[in-house]
Amino acid sequence: MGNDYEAISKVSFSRAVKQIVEMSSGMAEKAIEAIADRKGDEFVKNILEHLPPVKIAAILRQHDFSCPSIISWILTPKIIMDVLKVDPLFWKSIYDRNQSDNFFQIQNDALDLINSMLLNEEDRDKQGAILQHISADSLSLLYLFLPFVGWQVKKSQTLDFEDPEFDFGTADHLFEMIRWADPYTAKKIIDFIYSTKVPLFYYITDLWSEAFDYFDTDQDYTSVEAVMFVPVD
Amino acid sequence: MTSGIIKSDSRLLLFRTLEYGFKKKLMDNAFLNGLKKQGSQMSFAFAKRYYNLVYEPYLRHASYCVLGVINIGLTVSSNNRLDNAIDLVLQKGYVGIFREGWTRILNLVHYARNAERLSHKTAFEWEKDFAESFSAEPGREWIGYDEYLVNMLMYCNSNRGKNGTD
Repeated sequence: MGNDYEAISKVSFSRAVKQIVEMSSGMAEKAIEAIADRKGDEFVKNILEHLPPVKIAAILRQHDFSCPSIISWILTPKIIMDVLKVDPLFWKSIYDRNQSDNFFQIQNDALDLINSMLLNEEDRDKQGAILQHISADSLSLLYLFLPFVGWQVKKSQTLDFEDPEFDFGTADHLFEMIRWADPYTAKKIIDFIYSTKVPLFYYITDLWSEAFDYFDTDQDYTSVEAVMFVPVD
Repeated sequence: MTSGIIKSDSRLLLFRTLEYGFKKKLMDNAFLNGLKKQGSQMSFAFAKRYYNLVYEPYLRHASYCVLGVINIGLTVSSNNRLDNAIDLVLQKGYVGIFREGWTRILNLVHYARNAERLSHKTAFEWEKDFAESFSAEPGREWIGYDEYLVNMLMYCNSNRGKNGTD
């Protein structure tokens, strides 16, 4: 009886959060915070599993690496993988031909998002689990490569936090972390850098269209589309 | 002569048509389901052409625009009469009626571009703006037909002066 009640309340809570995200993602975050205060982290984890990844990505995108969202601590590896897959759909500025630096902006945002979920995590086992989940799927692995487009491997790499050779939160820092947590993924990144040399513009548009194809709806509207804008004689 | 308040139905003509047709058993459930499927497909196509398919608000907005254009087509070509409207819906379906409304919008765009040659608006932007101004949101008053008449008056008259035909 109690279990049934718990399950129903989780579903209804997630439905409520979903409706709040549509109005404002900042409010949704506050609502999740309030639920976590009352019911605990495990409960919130269950709610997030019921939420679609698009809504979680909308909440996460409000923040950057320097002040991460509170839900970034609770996310499971599978949810993180889904969020990375969904995130290209938010690149509205791809359409903006007036901005010249929008592709660098997109790359920076991607770095910020990955950092906020990976670098703020202190548990090394969980970092490894997240990276294994990401590298198992082709689309999220392509997203992980994005900060490393145009990046060069440095020869001498030592993880010395007293006198670091890199700035905090940069691609160098991320690569160091990946090298420690999951060397297999780090090797994939190095292979990618040496094998494919494409401009940032092409990489981003390819990734965007691939994500778009992955999430495209099953509606067959092409037959209607060909007819409906034709004027009557 | 009876004096009293005549209660007029202020809802959209399309909704009145469907309700009346269903009540009189001219349309069955299968036909209405087919119309529903057509409508959703057209909303997707409209969103793909003028916005994008990712964001939910855009899809909703596109469906309102499609509803508005369908109502323009139905109101104009049925002469704002219920019996004609039922015949039209039964014959042409949503796609045919949308094309009627779209033809009106294309005519308007032609006149408007002639009238305002100095503006840098493309035909694509004109179409989008007109479709948005005619959009019908359920639960709100629809002013699309009045908008259509006002635009038609404004741009046709300004055209007539310029060509020297009047």
